[in-house]
Amino acid sequence: MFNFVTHKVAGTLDRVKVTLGIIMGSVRVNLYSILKIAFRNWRKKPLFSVINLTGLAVGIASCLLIGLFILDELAYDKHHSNEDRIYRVTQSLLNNGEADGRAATTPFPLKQTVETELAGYVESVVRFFDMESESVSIKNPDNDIIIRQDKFFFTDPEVFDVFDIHLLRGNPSQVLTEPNSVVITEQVASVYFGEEDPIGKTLHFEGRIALTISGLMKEWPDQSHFKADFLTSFETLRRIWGNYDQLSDRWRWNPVWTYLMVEPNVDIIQLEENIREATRPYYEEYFTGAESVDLALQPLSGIWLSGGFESEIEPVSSELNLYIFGIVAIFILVLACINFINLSTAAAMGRSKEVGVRKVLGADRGELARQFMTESLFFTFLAFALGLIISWLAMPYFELFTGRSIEPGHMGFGDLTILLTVFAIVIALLAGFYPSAVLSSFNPIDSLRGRHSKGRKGANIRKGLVLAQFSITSVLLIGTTLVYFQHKHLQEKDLGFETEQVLAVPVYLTSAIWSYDELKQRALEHSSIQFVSGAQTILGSSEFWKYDLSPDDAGADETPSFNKLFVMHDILEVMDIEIVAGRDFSREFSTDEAQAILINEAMVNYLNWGNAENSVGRTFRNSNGGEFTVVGVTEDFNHTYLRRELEPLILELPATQNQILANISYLLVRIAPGNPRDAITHLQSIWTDLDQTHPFDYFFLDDRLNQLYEPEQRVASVMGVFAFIAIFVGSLGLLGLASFSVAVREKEVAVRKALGLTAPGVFYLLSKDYVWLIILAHVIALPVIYIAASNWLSDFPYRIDLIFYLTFTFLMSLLLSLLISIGTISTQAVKAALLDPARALKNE
Amino acid sequence: MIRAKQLTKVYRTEEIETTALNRLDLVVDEGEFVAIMGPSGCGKSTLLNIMGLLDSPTDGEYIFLNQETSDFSERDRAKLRMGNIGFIFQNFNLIDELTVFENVELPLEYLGMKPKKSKEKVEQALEHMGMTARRNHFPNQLSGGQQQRAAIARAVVTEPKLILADEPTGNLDSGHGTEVMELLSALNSRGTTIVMVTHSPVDAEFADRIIHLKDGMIAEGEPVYQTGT
Ligand SMILES: Nc1ncnc2c1ncn2[C@@H]1O[C@H](COP(=O)(O)OP(=O)(O)OP(=O)(O)O)[C@@H](O)[C@H]1O
Ligand SMILES: [Mg+2]
Repeated sequence: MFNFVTHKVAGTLDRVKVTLGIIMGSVRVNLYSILKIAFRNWRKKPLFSVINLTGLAVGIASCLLIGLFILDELAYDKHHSNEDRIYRVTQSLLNNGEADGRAATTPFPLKQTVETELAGYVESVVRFFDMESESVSIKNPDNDIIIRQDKFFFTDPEVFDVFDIHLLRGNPSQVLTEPNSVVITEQVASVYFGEEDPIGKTLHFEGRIALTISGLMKEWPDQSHFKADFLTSFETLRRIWGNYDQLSDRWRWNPVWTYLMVEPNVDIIQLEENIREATRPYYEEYFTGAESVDLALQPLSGIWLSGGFESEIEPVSSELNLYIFGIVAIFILVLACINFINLSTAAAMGRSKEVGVRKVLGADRGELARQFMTESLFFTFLAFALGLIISWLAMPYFELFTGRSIEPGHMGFGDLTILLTVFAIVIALLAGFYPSAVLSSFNPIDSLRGRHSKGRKGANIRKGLVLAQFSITSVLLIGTTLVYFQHKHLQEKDLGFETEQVLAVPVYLTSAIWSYDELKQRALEHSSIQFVSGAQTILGSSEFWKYDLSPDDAGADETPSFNKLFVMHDILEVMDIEIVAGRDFSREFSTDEAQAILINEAMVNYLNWGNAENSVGRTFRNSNGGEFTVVGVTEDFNHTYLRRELEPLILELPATQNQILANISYLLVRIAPGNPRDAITHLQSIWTDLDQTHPFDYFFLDDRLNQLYEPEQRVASVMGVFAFIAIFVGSLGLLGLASFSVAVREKEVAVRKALGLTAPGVFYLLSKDYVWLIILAHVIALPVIYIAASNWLSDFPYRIDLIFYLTFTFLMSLLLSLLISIGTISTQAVKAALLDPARALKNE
Repeated sequence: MIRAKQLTKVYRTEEIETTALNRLDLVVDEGEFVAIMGPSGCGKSTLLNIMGLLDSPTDGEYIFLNQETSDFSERDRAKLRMGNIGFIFQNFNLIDELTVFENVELPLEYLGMKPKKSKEKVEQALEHMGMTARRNHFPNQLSGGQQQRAAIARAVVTEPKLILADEPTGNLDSGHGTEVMELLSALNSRGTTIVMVTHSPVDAEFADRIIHLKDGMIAEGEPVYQTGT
């Protein structure tokens, strides 16, 4: 045992010495001679060389693309010079100390409190506010160009101190000081004003307020967690909203995004605590009993990869994606390097005579290692160049797939070159080290006699590496397929309402909503429009609102809150949702608008009200003492998206015109199956009569709901593409290895054939090792996949049956791997099977 | 030039221990042409490999050019070998991917010779072996005799003091075999020491002295040539 250990240690030391020799020693044989013989060797086995080169190049290209993507992700919001001092305040509503999610938004007055009470710690506070509206209409009165804008923000003048906003025109300290002045981007300016100078020109906000353009800013960089096209001040908002002062003093309402720029060297943990302390008295005025609020600071550069909180300005990415992509990149690189190592060591066996001769002629081991290292360095650079070309060609498709324009962060060309060179050298060392070590270790006496003492050992290492390859590809294959099934599951999940024949028209803040009744009545005149209603948000979206509502059996000290949606009459008809007990809202009951509510079955269960029938007639009371009676119970449906569990829900009609204006955001229209064109044209013509300020806009519900899952789907499909690249690279390696082992075992096969082995026998002989390796690899992959998948799935309330799908995908991957590899091997095995034994033996 | 004392080589594999050389004493003087004969497996190649510093003995001394080499490292042995010893093999051992010219040039590259000078030397050696016309051929484009002549050119291009030949005619027909033996003889007459393993009594006739090996030892009754001492 001790001997064995010393032997191992000596071997390792020897290898270290060889490595040092490789790096430091000189090579007497010149580069030309090295490359000459290398090329002749590659030319001798063209298939082998092309496979080796392609595999490595494809691997490198994939890695480069993914690497650029990751760098791009990491570069978000890093362009602000004070980036490390900027934090966003996030807020979480606690119920009995327990948080139900966290929002990216905070109340209006937070800024003032922080500014007065934490003056020494916080340099500036900047808020953004979008009126909680999907878009606002902006019109150039001179040419009547009118467009709905979704990147319009009210903000504080300090915005230019905190963020690096590139002002092309205007002085940052003055552009927002005048009320009703607005800063717009170059691109927006060109849309409204063409070539004309926009400064001093007027734009109409929502048809009511004239805004004067005081500054021009450059388009915000792509790598920003949100972008603004319009910036105006809260002073402007004061002129738009008569009750602004009242609203902006509310702590219960958190509609603004608040960013702090802290003083240098401030202890963030302490600051966070101080902010909680400073705001507590204000919050306590509004949040009583079991409710409280928790504020937290989130670094600006962390927002993009945070995965997102509720009410993000724009959807953000998540760190998980980076890990997934990073792992996939490393996997593919490892696969490509293993290919290279396997193919090179396999090819090296054919060069043992050369090694023997060179040793006899005076080359020592280090020098030979350097020779082969030089070869693989050169080969890797070749593959690298090819990989660069491939990735350059593939970039547009990659951008299409990821839905992003990739920029290599803030790296200059020089940095990028250095990084790529280092990357290439690392790959060359990784891939070239083992083959060089094997080749240079050949004993000259043995090699010259055609005996490979290392042959067996090399074969085992090759098998080990192939096993690693199969494990990696099966992890990728099974993983990707599981992700695919989960997404399919989400997409095909019945939400409990109609999505295909429902058209939504955004009406929030439009004048059309003032004439809701007329709009509805005229819409229904068209034969293909079946039902019309309205709602606070589209069903199935990520938005929902919680309201304090106490059921009649709640204790005095309880302050329960529930998801509630304002809807118009006929909502159940439009969405095709059934009533299971009681009745729908009805115009026949004049009290419905002020007092009636509908609840879903989940609410019945949540409150333990027994059954739906018994629940009809029960009441809820709001915080103002208003009482609502349950008139009906609906079947369950997913009113929020599938990342959340199906929750108890209350549907309520707006009681007054004001409530309609404040709460109804979408007109929902159920159209008859068939061509929707006519119905849309009809709606548009009514719209133009009722609202001249806002252009008509609409979308189909299913399109919008699919968009919700788009980021995840993109990740999934990118993963899928790379999984197949991985399998391709792996198969290339297998093809090379199979062709090699057929060549090496030609004599063995010939002898066995001479002794009576049949063609299928030959096939079995050559593929049985791989069959076992594939099975073993799957067995290794299984627990890895199981752990990763059950972790990933645990985030989804609606998930596939893991055991069933894992079994299925496992068997599928196993079968596919077997098919692909047996197919690959058989192209080579056929050669061996058809081999004429007499000739093969004579050739020896 | 060569002095071996109590030279022993034992091969150990998992199952058995083979004593390929057994306390063998041998002296070869400069300018000699020695043939080694003996039955298959008696240790001829083993002896030649040790003499050529390709292998080291398990026990005993091996002195080459007045240097005791049994505890030399692989690197030291390679250094001493270079330029001093030329090898000729039964199966020629030319590198298939290099032309005749490049094969012959190889040892000069390892000696670090300037390209201009080495080209001259290669031309010279090729001319000597009558291979000038075939200088740009690859080994598989040559007959066995031509391959062996190229191999000899490679062995002599560094003008080594010692040439070791392991059955140089083993793969050749008698005509080509004689040709090769005549070349070796000519080399010897110009002062190169040659030690050759052979199974052919005809080839052995070219040597000054024949050593018979049996079971790793010099066969009984053979006179052991002693010089000086
Ligand atoms: N690497 C090795 N490992 C184990 N045993 C070996 C090794 N090399 C040689 N032997 C054994 O040593 C003995 C001598 O071998 P050697 O090659 O020197 O014989 P030889 O006289 O050259 O025979 P031949 O005339 O057949 O070439 C043989 O029994 C052989 O089996
Ligand atoms: Mg022999």
